[in-house]
Amino acid sequence: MDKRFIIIHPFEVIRKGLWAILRETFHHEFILLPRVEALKDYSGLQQLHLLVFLSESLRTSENEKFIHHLLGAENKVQYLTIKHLADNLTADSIAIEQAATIIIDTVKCQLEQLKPQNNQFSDLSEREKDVLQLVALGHSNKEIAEKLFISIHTVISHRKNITEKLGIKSISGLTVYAILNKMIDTEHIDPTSLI
Amino acid sequence: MNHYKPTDKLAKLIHTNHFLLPVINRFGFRLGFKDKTVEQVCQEQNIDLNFFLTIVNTYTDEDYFPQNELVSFSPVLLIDYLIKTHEYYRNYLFPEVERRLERLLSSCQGTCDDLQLIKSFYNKYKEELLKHLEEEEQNVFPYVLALLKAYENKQALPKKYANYSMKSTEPEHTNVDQKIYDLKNIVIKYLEPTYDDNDCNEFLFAIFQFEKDLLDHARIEDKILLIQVLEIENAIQHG
Repeated sequence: MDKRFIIIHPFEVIRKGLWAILRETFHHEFILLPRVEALKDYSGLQQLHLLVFLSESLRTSENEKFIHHLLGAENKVQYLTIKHLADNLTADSIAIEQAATIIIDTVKCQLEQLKPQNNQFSDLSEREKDVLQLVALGHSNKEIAEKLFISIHTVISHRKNITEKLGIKSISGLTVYAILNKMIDTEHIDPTSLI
Repeated sequence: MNHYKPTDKLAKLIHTNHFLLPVINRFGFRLGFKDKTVEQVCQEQNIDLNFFLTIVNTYTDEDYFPQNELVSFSPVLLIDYLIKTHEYYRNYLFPEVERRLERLLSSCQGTCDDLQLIKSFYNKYKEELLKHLEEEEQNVFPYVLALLKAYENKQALPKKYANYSMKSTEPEHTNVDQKIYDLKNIVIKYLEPTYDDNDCNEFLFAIFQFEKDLLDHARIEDKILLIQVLEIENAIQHG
């Protein structure tokens, strides 16, 4: 899954400073914004891992709710707090008084947590489970898009992610997986007819 | 990676890559070759040396791509070899995988629905692969042989092949390759182990070997046969 780094901080010097430090190590796209509301222009983002850097004053549950509402359904969002002082730092925060190498290490640690764990069913998102179930029942991408009210493009992205997470490429293989994990009602459908 | 040479001993090939055992059998080589080199056994059995080396090197190194001068052997040899691999699948590998799968099933404790599902998946896969092999034997290989004959005798291609081309005729390998990988991966990652471990390992060993052989089969067709045939098609078109 592609990543985007979003840095939201009222001070330009901090936004640009952090960007300058991070872009040398992390070759992803960056979005620099002074206010959380400005994210509205990016409501079309989907299928991304978003690493959102928020200034301490902006890291409120209200703002998180706003971001979740805007981008949470189609993306995986993770937050990092930008503090001024390095006192009482948690694993998901950095401080502007820290050395660049330490800031980079913290971000790396956070990204590690974002990596999909390849072997657990629970790692499929609810949406991916919906898509997988319909794939197993033999529906085409177009049918799945219509049933779930999403675009065909999104269905294809979901399928790509499902295949990456599970390590199963063929439709019959995905069907076997869905049946093994009780995602299909095999009392009323003969499983072998689906494979 | 070092590639095998004419002066290598045949025993060395097997010691370094025992998967080559069925491959050398397809050339009619049987064990007990003492210290004979590749060159010597090929001469004795009247096998084209470059052809043999191309096949064993392709089998051993996935990225091996033979130099032009080495692909001078006739596509007839390739087709003969590919048909022998088809026979090997039908007469040995399929029955062997099935024997091991049955044994695995009979070792299962409790409800064995999941393993039955694996068996259904395998059966569907086998059906598809057999169809693929048949398609090659009935359409692709006869087309290549007819093309070659027309080229060598400077004749026109028989009418029924007028609209044929290698690219449109050769069935895709991706799908069959994917499925055998999935089969293996589902057993390894997602199947509840309600069976005897050794029986399952035996089953997986057979699948691994099958997969390796199939991938090689596809490489030979895509990297060597296809190239040779495209050249002939080109020569005929512009001849």
